[in-house]
Amino acid sequence: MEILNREPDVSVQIGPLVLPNPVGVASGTFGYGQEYQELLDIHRLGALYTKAVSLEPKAGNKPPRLVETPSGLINSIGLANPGLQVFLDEKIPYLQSLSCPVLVNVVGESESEYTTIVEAIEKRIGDYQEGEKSPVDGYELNLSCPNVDKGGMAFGTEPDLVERITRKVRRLTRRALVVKLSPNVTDIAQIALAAEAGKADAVSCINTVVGMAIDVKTCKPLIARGIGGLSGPAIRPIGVACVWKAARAVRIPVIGLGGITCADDALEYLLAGASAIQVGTAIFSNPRAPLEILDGIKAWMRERNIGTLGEIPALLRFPS
Amino acid sequence: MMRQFNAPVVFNQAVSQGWKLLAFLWPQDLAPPIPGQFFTFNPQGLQAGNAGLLRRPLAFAFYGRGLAFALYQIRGKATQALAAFAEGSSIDVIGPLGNSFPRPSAGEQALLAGGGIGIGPLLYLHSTFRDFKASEGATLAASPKASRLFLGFRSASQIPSFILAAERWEAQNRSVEGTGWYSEPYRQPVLAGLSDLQHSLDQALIATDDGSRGFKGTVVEALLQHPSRNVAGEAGVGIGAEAGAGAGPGVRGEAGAGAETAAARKRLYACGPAPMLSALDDLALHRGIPAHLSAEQWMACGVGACQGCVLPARAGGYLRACADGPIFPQGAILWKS
Repeated sequence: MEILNREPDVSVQIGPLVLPNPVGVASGTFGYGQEYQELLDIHRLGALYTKAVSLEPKAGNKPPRLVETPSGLINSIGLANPGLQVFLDEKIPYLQSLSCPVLVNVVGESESEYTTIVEAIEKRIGDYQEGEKSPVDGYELNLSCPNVDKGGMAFGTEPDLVERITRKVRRLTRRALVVKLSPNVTDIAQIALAAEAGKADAVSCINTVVGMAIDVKTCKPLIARGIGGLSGPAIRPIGVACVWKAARAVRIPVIGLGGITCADDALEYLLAGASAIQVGTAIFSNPRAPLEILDGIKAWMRERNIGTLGEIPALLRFPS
Repeated sequence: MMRQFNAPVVFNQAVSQGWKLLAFLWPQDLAPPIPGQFFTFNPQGLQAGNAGLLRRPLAFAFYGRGLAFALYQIRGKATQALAAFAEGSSIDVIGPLGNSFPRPSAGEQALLAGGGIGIGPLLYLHSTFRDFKASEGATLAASPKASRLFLGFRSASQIPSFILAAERWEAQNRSVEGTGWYSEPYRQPVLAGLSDLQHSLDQALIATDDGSRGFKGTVVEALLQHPSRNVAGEAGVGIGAEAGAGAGPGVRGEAGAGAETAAARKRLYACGPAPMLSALDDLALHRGIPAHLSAEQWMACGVGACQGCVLPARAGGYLRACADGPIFPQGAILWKS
């Protein structure tokens, strides 16, 4: 078999945005980038999905917020973040210095909070000169966080609401618009279709799976809020199945995440129909994981003479 | 600067019942860790599914001659995995992380209190005070004579012996031919580090819960009652020293006019279980002594990104143990929420 001499093309189109490669870092695991700048070359990432930005600052949930479970991590951070104003004033200048695409994860307690945040960011980006690198290349609407009482997942389980919020935000921006979906639904395909109907450029799935762990010595839940969101390799099969279902339902790209720790894990998602992936919990264990995964995907493509990422889903040997 | 690196493990030996001491090579071009800082390690050897997903934080117990040391207790699967790391194998480290203990000011007496496995950072801090005097070129109150180390343990069996560990290590390696890691240039730095750790430990006032060694009671009680019990000779070095005695009058209770100036001359450093830190935080407040308390919390990222390791702040909201700490000033944390 002839081996391609050229590097495989690993770029991915998400609406108007071209990601240089398919490997992004998942919201909530990477802060706003700065925290990790000494540990990996952020500029090489396919995309940086920021920690969620809410309208007002959020202190987050009472600790303990974390517990490790078999192959997994339950967290109940509660969207702790400094709020829109601090994001605009203090995070945007750093994000502009990055050469990788930046998608801002947006969360609201009401529909209007989502639009207010996106509107304010659009207004601020307008201050940057034409030709200058934009500090924000798109948005990821968080309609799927399980760790808050209002907003988050409460919106993401109702197809009508998903479509309406997506449509409202769509009117405010021409940048890439991704809707992040929850696996805690009866049929994720229906939610993906709703996001597509609202004119999202892509959906990302999955957010964490609702989980709980109890200490049998103290008879108390191991995180203060009782239930939290499970991530890590434990949820990878759930994520792969959700991506497979969503990708069969919609025409827009599906971005896969959930338990990806190595290139093989990422390739499972790509074979299931994902156009791109995100790495989350694995970063805690190995901050270099995203770039190692990227190298592994490229090596796999070279070995199989695959020229573009778009050829991968068709390689799944399973009746569609 | 922090860095992720693979470091050769040069020493990983038991020092007391259930406690081990780890030493690994520090990269020559990376700033050495300072007292109070920590690192995270990847418990390789654990498959995901066996609590091997997250890195674990450990405080530095000593740094010297190119080697970083950490004291740990075998408590769960990750520390079991660490205990199984062979000398000569490689450990995946991210560090140095977190803030550090501020130096005492000139003229201040440093009181160091460590409880259980939390003694590590205090041993390290104590070891730097010896150099402190030399490098400052002046006689400071924070020289070893004036600083005072209080260490609390469950019982005598928990108290490490770095000298015995060194002897065992030497004997063990003498009997094994061709153990590459037991050789120069690593043998001498390991032995020197163990010797420095032992030197600090030997100067400590020891408290045990069961009275099997030293003062019977907690380290907080020892600090309060010193020097009226147990330690002879040195007046005015504990928090509870009788007012008016010796060079450093104590500040017991409402000691009156002299208390304020006396209090200003002490500075408290502590690391240990939350109830101990809580008690010392209160004590420092009532006595008007500045204090620096090192917190422990479950962590995921260790670098300030995930917001997982927070502690409730007295001022409202939360503070991250990894990036805002692990050292917090008196009054910053609500230990009992």
